[in-house]
Amino acid sequence: MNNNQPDKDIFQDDEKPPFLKTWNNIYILVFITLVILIIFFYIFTKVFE
Amino acid sequence: MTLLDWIVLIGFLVFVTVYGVWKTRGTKDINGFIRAGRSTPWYTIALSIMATQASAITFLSTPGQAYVDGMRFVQFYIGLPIAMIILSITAVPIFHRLNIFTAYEYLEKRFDLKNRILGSILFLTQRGLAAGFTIFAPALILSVILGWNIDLTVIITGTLVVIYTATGGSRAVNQTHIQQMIIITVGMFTAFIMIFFLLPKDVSPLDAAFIAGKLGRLNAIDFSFNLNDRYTFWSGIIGGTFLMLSYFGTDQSQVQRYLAGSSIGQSRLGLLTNGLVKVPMQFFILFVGAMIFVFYQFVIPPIFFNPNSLTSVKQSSYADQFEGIKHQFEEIQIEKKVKLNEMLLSMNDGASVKTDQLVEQIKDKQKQADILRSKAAALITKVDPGADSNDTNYIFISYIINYLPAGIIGLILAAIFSASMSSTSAELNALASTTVIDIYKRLIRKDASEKHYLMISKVATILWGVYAITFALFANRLGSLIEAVNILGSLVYGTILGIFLVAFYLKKVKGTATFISAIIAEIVVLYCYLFTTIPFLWYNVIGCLLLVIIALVLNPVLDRKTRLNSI
Repeated sequence: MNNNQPDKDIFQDDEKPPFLKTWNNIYILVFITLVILIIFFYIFTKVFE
Repeated sequence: MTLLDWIVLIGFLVFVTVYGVWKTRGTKDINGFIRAGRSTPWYTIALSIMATQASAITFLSTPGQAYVDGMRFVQFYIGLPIAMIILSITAVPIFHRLNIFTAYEYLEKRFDLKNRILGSILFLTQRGLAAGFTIFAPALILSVILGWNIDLTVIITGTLVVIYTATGGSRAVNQTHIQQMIIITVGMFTAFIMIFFLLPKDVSPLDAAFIAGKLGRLNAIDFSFNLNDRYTFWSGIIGGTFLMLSYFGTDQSQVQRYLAGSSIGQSRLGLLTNGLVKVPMQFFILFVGAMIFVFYQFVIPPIFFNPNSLTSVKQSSYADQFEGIKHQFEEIQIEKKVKLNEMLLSMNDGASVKTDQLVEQIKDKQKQADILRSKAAALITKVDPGADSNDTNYIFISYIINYLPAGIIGLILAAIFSASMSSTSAELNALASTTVIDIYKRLIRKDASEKHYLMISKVATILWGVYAITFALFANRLGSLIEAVNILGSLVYGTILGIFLVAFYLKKVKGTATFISAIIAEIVVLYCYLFTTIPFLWYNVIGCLLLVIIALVLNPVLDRKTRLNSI
């Protein structure tokens, strides 16, 4: 059995994203875009129903 | 097809192959061949990830799906952005820091050899069969519609892919994916724009959307919770997230794309760009299908889009019965068209009550037309029980071939071939990498030179290519096995994802507990497939969660046993 387990800090990254300062902000951006898309799909479905 | 179409199609295929070979001719080591030298920028990773996922069937089948069933298939992709975020946080930094070549290599570093081999074999089995199908499916559809020789189509497509993939490996796959995604995007936009040129002049794009919506083709979202309904918001957000996590996090054909990133940040950006673009892209492709549906409200469509099935039924003892159904179908389409024109006039006059009445009448006609289409499909399967009663794969290509002008047909066929070649190249590249790194280098020959492993990787690519082409050549004769191949992904993805989730997050769980749990979870998933009616998207959730729970329960039991044995 190999003990090369992922430590907590292995998830961290020193490299900054090119915009929005932190990776967490980028993840939030992707998530908010998804929520907006779902709302758009809902409105789209209802408007043309 | 005209000479111009052939020039566009052949010109693009030759260009991509020559470009792929020329651009990557300097690949000299295994790092370059499998991970593109870890020098790929985020935008290439994003395009490569999308090109790998988008097979020819995606472009042939998805618009047809919207034509028949509306746009609800878009919900299948709702979990994808969430999966991209999770993988960017977990898998990307782990894989990069461990400097691995394949996803399964990580399983040995974390657990033991048997988990690595289990992961590799599940992948090689599933992806090996799928690679043949990726070449076969579009060749079958194009041969039916265009009368091409299916074997020749398979051999030419497969050989071109093998040439550049065996020459440049991952680098060639990534480079050609850029050109292929460009032609795919241009092709789909052209097909979309052409619809509005072909619609009657008095039908605006908004009118077209109104018609599609009223006839149930713009049903992009459905919040009802129904386990037996394949595409709802809930199956997409739960089942879809698990499926996408499995596919992008554990399938080497995708993992290899972001392992090639020049840094953790570049790989993350590639995945997250895919998360931003993929759902709108699928929405757009489905919208194209909905607009083709509107186009066929003004031009009488065939009652069934697969011409081979039509010929069979017309030559059978059911020919008269079929002609009767077809005649009724065409009459209803004409009546519907009259009502649609009346509805558009009353809309322009602002007569909302009359418009509503006409909408109800049109909906009723559509229901009758759908029933007649089902009756025609039932007759087709009566004539040939092995025939596919689903014609969605033929709808988009029929529209392209019959209604688009010369040159554009060649462009869209080039897009379809690009999609086929882009998926196949990534698959062959991943199959060769896993064979060489996880099997050959790990079990057969551990200490050979870089040059030797590079040569073996090229040979493995060629052999997997020959295997995929051979499978595709015989696929026509394998009948129902094709369906099994299609479902195989969902049967193994949940288990593979479960192994990786335990590896990432359950630090205390060891290799043997994970391995036994994987075997049990796989048996349960197979049971669900064989003896229940649970939709396939849920297999990923069941397999994954079951594996995690069993591993958590089993690990302390095995630990105690090991301690007792050591005393």
